[in-house]
Amino acid sequence: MTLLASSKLDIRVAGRPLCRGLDFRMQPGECWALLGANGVGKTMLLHTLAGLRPADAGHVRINDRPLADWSARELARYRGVLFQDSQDTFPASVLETVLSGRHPYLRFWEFESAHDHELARQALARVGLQGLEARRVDTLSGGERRRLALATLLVQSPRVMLLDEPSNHLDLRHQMRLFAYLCELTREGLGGLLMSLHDVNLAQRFCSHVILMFGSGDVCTGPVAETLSEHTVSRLYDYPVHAVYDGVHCWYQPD
Amino acid sequence: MVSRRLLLLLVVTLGSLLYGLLTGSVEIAIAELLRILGGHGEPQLAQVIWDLRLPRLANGFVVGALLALAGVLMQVLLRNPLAEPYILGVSGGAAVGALLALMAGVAGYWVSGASLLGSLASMLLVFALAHAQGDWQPLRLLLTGVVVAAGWGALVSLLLTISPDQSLRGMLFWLMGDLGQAPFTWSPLLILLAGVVIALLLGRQLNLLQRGDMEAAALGVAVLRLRLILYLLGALLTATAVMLAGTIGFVGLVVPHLMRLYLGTDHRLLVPASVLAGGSLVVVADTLARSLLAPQQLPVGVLTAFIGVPLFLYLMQRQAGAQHS
Repeated sequence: MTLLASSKLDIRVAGRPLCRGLDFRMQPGECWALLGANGVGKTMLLHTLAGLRPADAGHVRINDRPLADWSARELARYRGVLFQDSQDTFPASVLETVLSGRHPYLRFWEFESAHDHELARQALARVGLQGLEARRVDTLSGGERRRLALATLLVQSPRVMLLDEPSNHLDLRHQMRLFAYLCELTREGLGGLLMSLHDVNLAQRFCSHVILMFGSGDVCTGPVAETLSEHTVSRLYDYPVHAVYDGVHCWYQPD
Repeated sequence: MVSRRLLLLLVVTLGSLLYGLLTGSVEIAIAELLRILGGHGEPQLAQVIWDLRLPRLANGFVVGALLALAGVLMQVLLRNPLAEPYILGVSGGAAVGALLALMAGVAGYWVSGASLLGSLASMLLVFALAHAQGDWQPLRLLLTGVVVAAGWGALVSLLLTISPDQSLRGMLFWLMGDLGQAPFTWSPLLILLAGVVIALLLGRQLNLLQRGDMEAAALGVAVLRLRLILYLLGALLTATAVMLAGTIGFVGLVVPHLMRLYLGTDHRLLVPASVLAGGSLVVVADTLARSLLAPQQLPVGVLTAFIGVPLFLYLMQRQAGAQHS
């Protein structure tokens, strides 16, 4: 079974190719990183894979079914998205926000049950936001809002997670705890995880596979060990890097 | 705390209805009102209640509730705190229709019918223009609506300029909003009830949509369909309100904000609360409008603003204080 796959996927924006002929298959238990320079189209690719915008050519399949065969509600129980930023024209409370993750599981007229509240409480505790339930989201700091969005995703508990720069705004401790938890959750629950990152070393440390976007549509995918190298990383960011081995891990440092 | 606040709102609503029934050129005591409602009151006073005050009160409440609900829906649809029921040009179209009817010298149902036609025409026009390229971005819809509304506004000015003096006063009163014209009928109330039920069933989806189209879609909301429902429902509610009472300003903009400050942003509370508060505000404003300087009648829109502005500023100050402490 393949959780998330694309074949010959093309994405263009205003005639400019962002991604040409992307083929990959994500198996259960795999953590994938999506790497590329600013403006290369990482967010567009994530949104396309999530079914939030149409592909220009090619196909996306989730759980071996074409995206078009999923209803919006059904899809929302299976794949979740963490967005880069959130708007708050009309700011809700922390509790209301995290409970919204239960939306795809509830019928039209249903209110959240005690069970849903318990899931929300656990998710808030998991990201270290317990006790802030009544706060309005526009009073939270950037890092707290990021963790709130993650808690909402945890409450949604999709099998396939697509995360757009999940480490944004997070301090070192929260980054490490978050990545360790997400990767453990993916491996133990045999879900799938794809996240765009700006730190090659985080990808190297936590992920099994990578998708590299080189700009102008060139993409390359594969297991981390076979795909990342001084050559590909230097080309990726158009800046020279060299690899340093500390005996356990391999780190990339800019020259 | 939420249930206590809802209860308080319910008490205020009932109080405003009672105030509207008792107050006017003839003051009626509560005991007398109860006798009249029971069918044993003094015939003259009973006539005042049944034929004059009750229909006007019912229309006022329905208009306020329609506008407040339409305001909630428009603010979510356009994801803009400045959105209000008239922003997409529905009222401008209605005004042009009504003024044309008044110019032609007709009255009553003809004016209402012409205003309804005008608002439906405007709704279809904005919809067609904003939908032309298949995308339904809030900003595009907003700009289309604002531009069309500006066009209607120019037409209204033109009509006012060229119309004969004897119809001017009626036209100005229509434009400022007037509850004294339309007789009570059941259809606006039924439209309101249908709107409330639909909005309540969509409550959780509205909560998600106000966070963003993508966020809502990722959590399983069929965003395009929801936006279409909101647009059509909002326009229908607004057209109904305008048909009944002309354009009463301020209610649709401020009541939703007032209720957000009071109860939060969950639409399953916000919708019923705004309906009650909008209805009450117009009932109280209209009662004041016809009793403050009696026998002179003031435009009800002036009073909705006089009551709403200080109330809104007070709640906003209090909320700002609570967030900082």
